[in-house]
Amino acid sequence: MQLLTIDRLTMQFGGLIAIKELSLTVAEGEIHGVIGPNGAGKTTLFNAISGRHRVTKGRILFKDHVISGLKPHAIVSQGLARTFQHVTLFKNFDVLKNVMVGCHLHSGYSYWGAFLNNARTRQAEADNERRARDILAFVGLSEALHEPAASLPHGHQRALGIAIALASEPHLLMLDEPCAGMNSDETRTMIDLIERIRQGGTSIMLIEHDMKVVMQLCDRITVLNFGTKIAEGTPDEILKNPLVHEAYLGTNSNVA
Amino acid sequence: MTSDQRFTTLAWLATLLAALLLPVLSGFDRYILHVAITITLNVALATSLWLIWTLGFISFAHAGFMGIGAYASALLFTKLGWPLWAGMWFGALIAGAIALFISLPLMRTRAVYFFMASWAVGEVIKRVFAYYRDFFGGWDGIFNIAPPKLLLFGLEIDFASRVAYYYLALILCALIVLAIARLNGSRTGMIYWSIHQNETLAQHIGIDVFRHKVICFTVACIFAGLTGALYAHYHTYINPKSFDIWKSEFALVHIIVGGLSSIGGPVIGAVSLTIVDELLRATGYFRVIFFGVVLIATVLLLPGGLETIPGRLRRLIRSGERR
Amino acid sequence: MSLDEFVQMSLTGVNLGLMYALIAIGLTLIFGVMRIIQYAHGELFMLGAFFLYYWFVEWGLPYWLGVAASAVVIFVVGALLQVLLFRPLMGQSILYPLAVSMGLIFIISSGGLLVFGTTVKGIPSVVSGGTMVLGAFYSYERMVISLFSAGLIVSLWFVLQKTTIGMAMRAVSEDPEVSALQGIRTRRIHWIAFGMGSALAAVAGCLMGTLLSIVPTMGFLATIKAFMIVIMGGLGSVPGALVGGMILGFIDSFVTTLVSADVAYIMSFVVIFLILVFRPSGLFGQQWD
Repeated sequence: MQLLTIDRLTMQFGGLIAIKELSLTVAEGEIHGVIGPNGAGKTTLFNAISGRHRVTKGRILFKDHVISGLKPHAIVSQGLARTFQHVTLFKNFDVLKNVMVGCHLHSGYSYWGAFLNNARTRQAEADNERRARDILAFVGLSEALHEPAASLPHGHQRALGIAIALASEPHLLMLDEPCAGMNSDETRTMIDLIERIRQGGTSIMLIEHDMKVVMQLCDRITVLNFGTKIAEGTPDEILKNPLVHEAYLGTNSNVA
Repeated sequence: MTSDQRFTTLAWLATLLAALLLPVLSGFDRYILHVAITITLNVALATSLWLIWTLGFISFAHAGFMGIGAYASALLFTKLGWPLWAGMWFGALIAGAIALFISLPLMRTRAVYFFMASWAVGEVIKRVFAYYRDFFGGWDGIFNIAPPKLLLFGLEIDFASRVAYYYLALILCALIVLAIARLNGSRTGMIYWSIHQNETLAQHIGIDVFRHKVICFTVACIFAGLTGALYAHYHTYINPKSFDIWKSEFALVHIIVGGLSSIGGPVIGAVSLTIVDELLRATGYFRVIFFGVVLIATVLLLPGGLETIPGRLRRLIRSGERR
Repeated sequence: MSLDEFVQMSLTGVNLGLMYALIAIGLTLIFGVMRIIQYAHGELFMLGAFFLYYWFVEWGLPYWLGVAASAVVIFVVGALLQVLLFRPLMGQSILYPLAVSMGLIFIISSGGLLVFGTTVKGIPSVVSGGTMVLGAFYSYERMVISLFSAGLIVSLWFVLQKTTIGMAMRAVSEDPEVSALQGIRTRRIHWIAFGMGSALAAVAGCLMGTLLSIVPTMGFLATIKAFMIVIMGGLGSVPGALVGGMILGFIDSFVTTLVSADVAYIMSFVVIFLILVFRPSGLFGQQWD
């Protein structure tokens, strides 16, 4: 069983066709890269999968359940989380609170329980805080627990975004350009983090422009251009593919 | 407890104590009691409006739902003889039911459109009261809404007495404020503020945003309805103009001037501006002009509202001490 | 309903619709360029009307010159308001400009009651006589006002489509960041747009004040109608404001004559609410995220 199956997906906004008849699968345990020039439709793909935008045509299946047409919160509860291309955080919360909100799905939350603040709720919140601290330690933000999210440096903000996504305990985590705007040290730390996430049992789908990262991490890569798939395969196969070279010709692609 | 939290707790206790002792301290002055009752009703309305704000919206229909509670309780009394004790819960429930019904389409609108749509809802509610003369009394309104009597430990308390009504309003207002404070301090509050800050992210961590919006709005309108019933049986007379857009706007002024980030804001705002309003009552139009000036001055010069004053003072003192 | 009644209501509908469109276009311009809710828009409509009243009735100066002067004065007032009160709030939550404009309503309408008094006033017509159209009487005054409104709207379209300033305004409306990168001085466009929008409201006030009566509290109702139209037509869309204005003009004309003003009022609210539910961005609007 494939973890994620995208079946002839088409995304159309007004007159613009952003994705055309795209099919791909992501297997359990793999790190699957999605690359392509700017405007190829990569983030639109993520938006379609996560339910942020409505699917025009086609189906998306996650663990053999149809998720296309569901609202984002229902999709997340199935075990599919994502990060965003631009920094997306709860800017007025501190780091710890950001992840504690992220724990929502597994927080044992109920309206009455929260209102009454009974023993069970207090216990659940203590557990939530512990889990949040663990996740933050995992992504390397233990030193910044009470910093307001807005004041973090860029690299830490991206790590926080990943921590929030991890808090929902996903089976598949979609990362949208996690290494954007990072220097080589930060990139190495991020690569390490992504590997550790995979080792923890979470499959990963990755949009990235930094080819070193893509080649190093990904088991398989799908290449998009103008909303369609132009190539798919292992990193080696992609490197050798003339169509891929043509698509990237003239753009700065950092190929090793 | 940090020193900030200790200060806040002390401030609340002091306020509660002052409120409890007010009738005695003022010599049971009828006018002061009237102002005090008005303050408690305004505090209740402002705080329930603030609850909607924590989710990121401003409802211009809020006074309309207060009106629904008021009219419901008033009609149950004038037509069926039901006292306030039954009327207020029914008023609150009916306001809640209508809020629930309206919120289903209303919460599908976003940001700017929500403000307009809520405005339309408030207007329609008021016009419905005005239009149906036979049932709601039209623009003339409903008269003779008597306050109730209560038999307690063999003593009969007549709530036509201002002291008695003041304590009744104070208790209910305190309960409303406590309930909203509890909601805000729990995970529910955290969820509301997260939706407020970043609705997309909130959706993507598994929060059913729509459901929360509907529940929050309904709960806030239930509190508004309860406040309306109290209003009706105190003033003994209501008409559609009592619950128009201006009342919603004044409640909004209370929370903006008081402060938006904690529950202290609406309380401080409603208390201080109601007092100021009463002091200026004789000056006619200057009263409203003054409100406008205070509002603009607060937004431009004191962002965060009155509730930030203690914090600013403390920081000023601390930086003075350091030298 | 006879033919002449129908014609009468239609002519009134066109007349009202054009004047509504003026004030709505002003509002949609302000929202489109700055994304703020100018809740006090109707107050500038009221000030424009009262300016003409004092100019023409109290001081005896020429009518059309007064309309132009009113537009200029209110343009300046609008520009000043933008620079002093709204510019510091750009980029923050939409609640703050809303709060400031609410404060302005309090100040301007109560100030108006204080300064202008509470009695209802009128601006007498400058054109007399009329003609019969298909059995209905159509005064020259209404004709002149309709033509003037239409002409103003056409000129505005011309300004927005063909002049540099107009295109700059449309650019800032669509994408403020890119516009700034292209070298458009967005701060200047902001107060120009605010001034222009307010001036349009002022002209609408002059014209409506001539046909109907004026009172310092008339601003709020004008604001409500303007917002209804702008939302119906799509926030930031000038054609939307025109179409919306005409729709509302016709609803008001027909329903008020056939049923009652109250019902017309409720009906327009219900129509807006329904449009918002089914077309959340208005008839011509774009997605706001």
